[in-house]
Amino acid sequence: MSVIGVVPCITYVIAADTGVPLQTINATPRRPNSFENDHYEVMTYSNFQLGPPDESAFELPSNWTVAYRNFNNAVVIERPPGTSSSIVTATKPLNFTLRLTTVPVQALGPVTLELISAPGINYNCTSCISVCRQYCVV
Amino acid sequence: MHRLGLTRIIWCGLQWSPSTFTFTTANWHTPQTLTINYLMDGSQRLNLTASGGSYDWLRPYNDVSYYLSFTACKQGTTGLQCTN
Repeated sequence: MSVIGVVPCITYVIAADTGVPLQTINATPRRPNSFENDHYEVMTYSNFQLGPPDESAFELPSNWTVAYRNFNNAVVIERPPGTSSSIVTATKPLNFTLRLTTVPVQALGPVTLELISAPGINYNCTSCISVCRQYCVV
Repeated sequence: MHRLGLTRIIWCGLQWSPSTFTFTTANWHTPQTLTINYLMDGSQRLNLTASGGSYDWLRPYNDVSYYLSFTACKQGTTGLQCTN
């Protein structure tokens, strides 16, 4: 009994269906003949998990990249060692390697890179048409 | 018997393969090879875009570093003959 009234001496707050303690609230009355007040001592427990993170626990919204951009995301385009040219000939095709700098977020699916023709001086479309010069006998 | 001459117009000097690449959490760090082949003379620019897996933000920004420019040249008797 204290000036607070009748209160539980201690209250445990546990996570539903797990038994994991989240918080305890301990009622502490003032000591007799002291200038203390009755008070509650609240202890909040943080829950740490060891091991690989469970992405499902974060419940990422589908548009999370709009609000939380990962500026480390990038594509690395590398030429073969010893080559620096962007000139392509009929006998010498160019090979490049593409890779990502950061792992994709699994909940958002795989990363797809797409290469399309960009409009320029010699072409004004993004869909290539193959050349053909032939004679047909009908 | 009639002989018909057919000519189709070409707009691109290059061919490339593959046109799409897929990276997952299992292979994201493994480089994948892009091959650019000669088709006819001329310069050409390719636009590389990324989507999915938290990379979508690249698309609206059209970062200039993801434009690739190439020149397709003929091998002449006096060296490479390139036209823009």
